[in-house]
Amino acid sequence: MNSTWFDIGSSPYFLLVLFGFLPTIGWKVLSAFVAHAVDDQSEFFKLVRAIATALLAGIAAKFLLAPSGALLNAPLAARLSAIVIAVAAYAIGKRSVMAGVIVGEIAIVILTMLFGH
Amino acid sequence: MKAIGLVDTDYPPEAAIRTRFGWWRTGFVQALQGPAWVVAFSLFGIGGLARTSGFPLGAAAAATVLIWAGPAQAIFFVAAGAKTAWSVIALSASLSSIRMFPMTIALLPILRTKKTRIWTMVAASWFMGITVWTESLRRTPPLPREVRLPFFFGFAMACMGLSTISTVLGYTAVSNLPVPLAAALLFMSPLYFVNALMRNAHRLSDWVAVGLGLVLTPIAMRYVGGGFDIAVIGIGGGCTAYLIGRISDSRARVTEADVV
Repeated sequence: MNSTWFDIGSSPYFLLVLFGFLPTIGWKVLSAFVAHAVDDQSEFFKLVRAIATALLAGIAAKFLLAPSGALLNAPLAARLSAIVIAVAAYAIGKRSVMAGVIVGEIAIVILTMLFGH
Repeated sequence: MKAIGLVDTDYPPEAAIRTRFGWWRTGFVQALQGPAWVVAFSLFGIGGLARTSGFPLGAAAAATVLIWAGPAQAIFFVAAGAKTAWSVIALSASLSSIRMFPMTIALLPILRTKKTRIWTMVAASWFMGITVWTESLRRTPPLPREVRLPFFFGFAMACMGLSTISTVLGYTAVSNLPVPLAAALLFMSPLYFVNALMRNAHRLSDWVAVGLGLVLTPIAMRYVGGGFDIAVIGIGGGCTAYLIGRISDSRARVTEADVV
């Protein structure tokens, strides 16, 4: 087959910039221009922060409920249990994110070994 | 320079006299004490995806720097490997990055000073990602305003640098990781998000936003679906949380006025 500009083998960096970088950086540049006009004491700022927070919680929940790849090997009950265990470690560790993350990772490895398929 | 070993938001009294580069370094070191490893861990698997799809090692590393978002990178490499139309790949990558819009608007106004130029803001927005966002939202407000951006750039560059190394390692690593370990790599993102969101929640509106985001997701996935469920959750949950926070604030103000 003749190689063209749109073959991964012949122009990977061109494709990465055109179809990976530009579509994603666009939102960031746009938001930088908007942010330039927003005051961090304004009500609009508080509203956007609440939207971003809810959005992030939604993304976390979606990752847990509908995972992809190898995480599918851990049953839903195992994924949710590992999160509950992690939150407990976070609370016991005086609101330490690292405590929650490390204990949660250990929990998902053990639960996947025990109940994974 | 004992100031380097800082954890979280404790800053020494000599803070005010440190140089901008000193603050850049403080951000860099704080990231390496934890958060940078979280991003690096979750981007390890992206290297493997890049290799499977036929991209060279350099492109895998460049994607971490240029795209700087795990989900968009995964979409790009998986879809490219499956010979999806390039227009569809660009559209999906773009859709998954819409979340950067409210996130950036909710952070940059805290970081900038009155003199900050627009191109500095654009440069800062490049480094925006979930980990950098949540950690900066908590770590920068206690700092003097002039040093927030240097701190942010140091913090973000440490995250990006370590993640680029881990993408390269993921590319060269064995292709078949044991299943529990592969699951643990993918579990890192939701695990970190849940913990970090709780850590960041102070006001009532924060807690309501986190709670609604989690609870609304199964409902939105069922009845909205597609790529739009997250947008509905964000706007619906966020606006509700904001209104509840506002009502409770004004009640508190009325009660205060009664007492006085």
